[in-house]
Amino acid sequence: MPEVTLPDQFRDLEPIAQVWALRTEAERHARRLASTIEELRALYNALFPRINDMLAYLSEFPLESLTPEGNRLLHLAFALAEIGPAVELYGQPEVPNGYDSRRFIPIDGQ
Amino acid sequence: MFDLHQRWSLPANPDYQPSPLEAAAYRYASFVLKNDFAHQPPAGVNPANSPNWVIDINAVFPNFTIDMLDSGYFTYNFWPLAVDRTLWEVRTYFPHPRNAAERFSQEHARVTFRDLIMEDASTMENTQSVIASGAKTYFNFQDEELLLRHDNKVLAEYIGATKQGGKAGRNGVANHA
Repeated sequence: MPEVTLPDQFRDLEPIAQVWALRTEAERHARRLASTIEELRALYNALFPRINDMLAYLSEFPLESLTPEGNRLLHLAFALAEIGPAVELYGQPEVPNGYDSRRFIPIDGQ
Repeated sequence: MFDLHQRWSLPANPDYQPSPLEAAAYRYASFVLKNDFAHQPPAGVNPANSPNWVIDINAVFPNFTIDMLDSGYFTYNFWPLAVDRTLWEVRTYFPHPRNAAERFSQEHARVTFRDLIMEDASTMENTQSVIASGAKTYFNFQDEELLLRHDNKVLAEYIGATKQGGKAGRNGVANHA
């Protein structure tokens, strides 16, 4: 188990968090592109039913006082944001007929 | 339009239905396509005071735009690297989130926006590759491309002024509108 885990009520999502609770947009986007749409749909189906509970939990914390556990939950929620358009709109990991997003470089730390 | 610069406002789609995840994110404020006027935009934004407004695009000649939305703004900087290559910098700006759920909503909007402009970027490169092929000796701007026509005129005059009589169209781009 990692040093920091998800808050208690989301602990069942920990196996997913170990793969997807990534710190930067660049890491999350790279994982999206390296996944199949079936894998992304499975992730969406696991996380989307929990998003309202996740946001209710996160809404209790100003960003500055978010606990390490809450921060891990936020990063997991970011993963859902990252893959949302692929699952809901595109039906594939990449933007259809889009620019190669690998050439679009996030600033460090984002 | 101004002598060198441009500003235009775009309407929202009143029938737009957010996706399920967008709807969840919207509940904690958002960025793209949210237009509930919960607060008044700054003076000068949405100058027509349109109830169906979504964005003002302000283009500062020659290489900068600042685009205002209801709850944030974004900027483009275009840096020419060669006659057919450009470095495009995109920055998004949000109010400081009041809590971590708002931070999620902002991330969702940012990622959705990033994916959206991947469509813009591929269109630009495809257009450039067609122009660069030289198959056509001129490129039409139609009536609704008023701002491109203006930009083309301003740029031609600007270059002409610095090249002592250089004319637009010399490089295969002419305004036939």
